Amino acid sequence: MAWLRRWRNLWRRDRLAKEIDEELRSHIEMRARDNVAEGMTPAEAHEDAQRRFGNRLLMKERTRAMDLAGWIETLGQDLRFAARTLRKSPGFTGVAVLTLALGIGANTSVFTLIYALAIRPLPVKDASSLVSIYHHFRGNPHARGVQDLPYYISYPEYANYRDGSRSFSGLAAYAETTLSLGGADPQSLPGLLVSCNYFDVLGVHFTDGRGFSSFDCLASASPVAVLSNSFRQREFGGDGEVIGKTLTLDSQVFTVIGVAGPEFSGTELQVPDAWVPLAMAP
Amino acid sequence: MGKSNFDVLQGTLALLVLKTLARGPMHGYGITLHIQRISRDILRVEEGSLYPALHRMEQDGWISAEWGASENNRRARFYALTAKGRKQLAEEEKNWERLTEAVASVLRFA
Repeated sequence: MAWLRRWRNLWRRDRLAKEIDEELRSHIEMRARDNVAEGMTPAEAHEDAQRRFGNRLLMKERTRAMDLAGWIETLGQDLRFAARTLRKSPGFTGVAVLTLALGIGANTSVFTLIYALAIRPLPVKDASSLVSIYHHFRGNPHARGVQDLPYYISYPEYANYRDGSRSFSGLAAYAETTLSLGGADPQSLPGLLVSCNYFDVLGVHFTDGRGFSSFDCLASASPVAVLSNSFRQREFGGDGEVIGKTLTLDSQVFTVIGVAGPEFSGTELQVPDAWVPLAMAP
Repeated sequence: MGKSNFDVLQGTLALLVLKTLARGPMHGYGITLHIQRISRDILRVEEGSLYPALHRMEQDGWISAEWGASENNRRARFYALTAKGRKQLAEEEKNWERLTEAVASVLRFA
């Protein structure tokens, strides 16, 4: 089959070049022999035969280009033929396309998930030196009972690790939560409860205001919240001051003290709309 | 070779090669010799453009190529006319006649 031969040609460019070489050599030798028959010395005969080709390298290049150009044209014809054939049997085409689509779709989803979970660096200042710490508890997980999960760390445990650790520049804690936004348009928001050093440890950049300070975690502190950039756009519009505005979250009035940069999407898969200090958890 | 021979004109090379191969399969060197001999040394095929042209025609399906043994038993690539090439030859011959007639009538008139 012609197309198969051309297909192979493309992968055997070296062989093709050798074939052209051999073809030219055979031409030159035949010419040289005839030249000798006409009375030239063998050296003259060979030189004359070669000279007639002019720039041999250029000529070989052009010959090879012809072989490949033909291949590309035929590829176009083959593709058109394939398209026509597929149109003629829509049932087969449909099943084939569906199979491919499902296969590609499933792979893409799995990759997206694995990328987000395991490959994507967190959008923080020094992602490569960031580590995640969790417990592994042998035995009945319910016996431990930190949110019913064996790898959750309780606040006192966290405080103990934070104060006792000498290997890290800082240790922050967070927990996923759902906050109910009150007011004119009640809705539930994905949120993160975080330790007050959370933004400092991660080195998050703020477009407005600031992150939490240790004062925000005192029992006497008034409730404060940091908003994600997208939630700020949604709730307050792009511009205008938001620092100092209040929000009702879980029936408490929170004062907005900062808006995280648009590149910061939190520390979990779910992108939070708001961060609040752990100490303020109901 | 005298000074009064012509390099084969661009565009007529394909016609001359196809016509030459209509007599039977031949290798590249044979084609140059044949054209030169039949034109009584007036036409000269430039070797540098012959092989790109042959490979082009092969890719277009006008001719097919096969390795074989030459008259002196050395390996050579033999080209043969295909059915598509035969049709192409008929068409190019017709075009050539129309062109030469047209040029001739202009020369006669002016």
